[in-house]
Amino acid sequence: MATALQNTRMLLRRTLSVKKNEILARNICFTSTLKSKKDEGTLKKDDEAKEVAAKNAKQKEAKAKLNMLLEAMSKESQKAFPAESELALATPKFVKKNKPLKTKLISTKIDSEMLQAVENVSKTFSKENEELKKNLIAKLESITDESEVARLEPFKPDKQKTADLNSLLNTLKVDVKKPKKKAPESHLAAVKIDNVYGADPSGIFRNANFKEESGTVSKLTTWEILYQKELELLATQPPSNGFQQMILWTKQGKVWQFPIDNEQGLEEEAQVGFHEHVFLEPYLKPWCPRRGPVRHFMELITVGLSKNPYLTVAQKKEHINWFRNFFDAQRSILIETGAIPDVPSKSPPSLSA
Amino acid sequence: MATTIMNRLFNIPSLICQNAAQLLKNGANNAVKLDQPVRNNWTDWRMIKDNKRRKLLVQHAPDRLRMQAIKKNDILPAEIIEIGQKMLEQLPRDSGITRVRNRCAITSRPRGIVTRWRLSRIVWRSLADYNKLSGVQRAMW
Repeated sequence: MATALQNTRMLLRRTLSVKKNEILARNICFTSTLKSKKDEGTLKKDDEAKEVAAKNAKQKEAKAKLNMLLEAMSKESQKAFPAESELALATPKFVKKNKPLKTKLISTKIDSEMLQAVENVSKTFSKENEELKKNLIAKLESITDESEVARLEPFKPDKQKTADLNSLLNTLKVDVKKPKKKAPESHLAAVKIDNVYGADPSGIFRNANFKEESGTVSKLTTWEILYQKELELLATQPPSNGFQQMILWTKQGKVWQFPIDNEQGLEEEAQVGFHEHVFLEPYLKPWCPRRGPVRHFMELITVGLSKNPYLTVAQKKEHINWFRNFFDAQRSILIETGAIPDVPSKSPPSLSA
Repeated sequence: MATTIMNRLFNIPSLICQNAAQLLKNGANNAVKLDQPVRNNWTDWRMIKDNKRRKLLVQHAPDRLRMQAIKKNDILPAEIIEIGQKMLEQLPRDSGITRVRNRCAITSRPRGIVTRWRLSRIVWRSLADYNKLSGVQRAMW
């Protein structure tokens, strides 16, 4: 809280200094006018010397005025004071804005909050509370009185002051840049973190007991599905015009690509050679007898399949295998009718035996 | 209304078998509401039935082809052919291609369909007049 005290001191000084500046300015102005009147009545040498002296004086006065005004205007003088406190306390280090205290206080009595602040300041800063408190309270009270007086009086723009200011500004051509409006910084935002992982863990949550959601809570699956759908819908915008629709379809692959290729979408099948489609006899070889009605039938089947361009090779194999299984199931009937030669099989089950 | 409700009740076992996948899906609400009309995206019931037939057709097409091949040949012994015949009969009737009817996709009209667009001639004509069919122009020669 040393900074707070220093800040209050600075503020008090500034408010007082403004008055001092005004007083000084007035005095300087008066003295310069008085001097100029005197110069007229003296001898030439004296005139010259006095003119030179007057010029120098004026320059000095102008410089002095400048400095005063700049001091009053400048807001950066606070940087001279260290922003971080010497005490290692875990409090946010906020930068007090340069507002005069008049705007806060309303009544002649100091606010209870102000009193509390005064107390806090005095506590943290030193153990000799009473003296500090009294001093601070006295200063605050004086300020409140001044502000009350100022409030009660109607505001009259001091022409002298404005004239001085104007003259000075004109001579100096001060470029007053518009101060960039910073976003209203919250007290928390001003914490300067150099190394995020450098500090020790605070251990706030060491003894925390986070309750997990019980697994017995019945899930509303339909609701969750719908929620997910809604999220997707919110994220994706539907196409606003035909162009966007076509773009979307092209990306999805729904649109014909020019020049039109009749086999669009069948690129995988195109890589399969014709020999695999046409030569299906090897699939008959392991099981089908070389002669007989079964062979005749299967030959017809394979001829038909080989001529079929619309089926994949896998589908054709599937057909042949189905027939194999079927004839295997009807083996007894086939033997009875004489379609298959009746030989006791040593080899693995095949119709050719 | 009573007949439709009874239909729904009687068809439940077969419906369960057919739509087992959907029923067992997690989160699907399969409660049958008997007090309100069933809502769907089809024009009419005939369209729905036609759609079912098409699905069954696709499902059983390979089996049907093989069994037909066995049935419609004179090379294999008669017993085998008979067996093939019976197997074919076991398949659902709606899996036959002759049962599928090309209906209008919008109005479900069974006749007067323009095949390429799957629309009835009336709908086709109205769309063509509003220039919604690519390359279609009023004939004039």
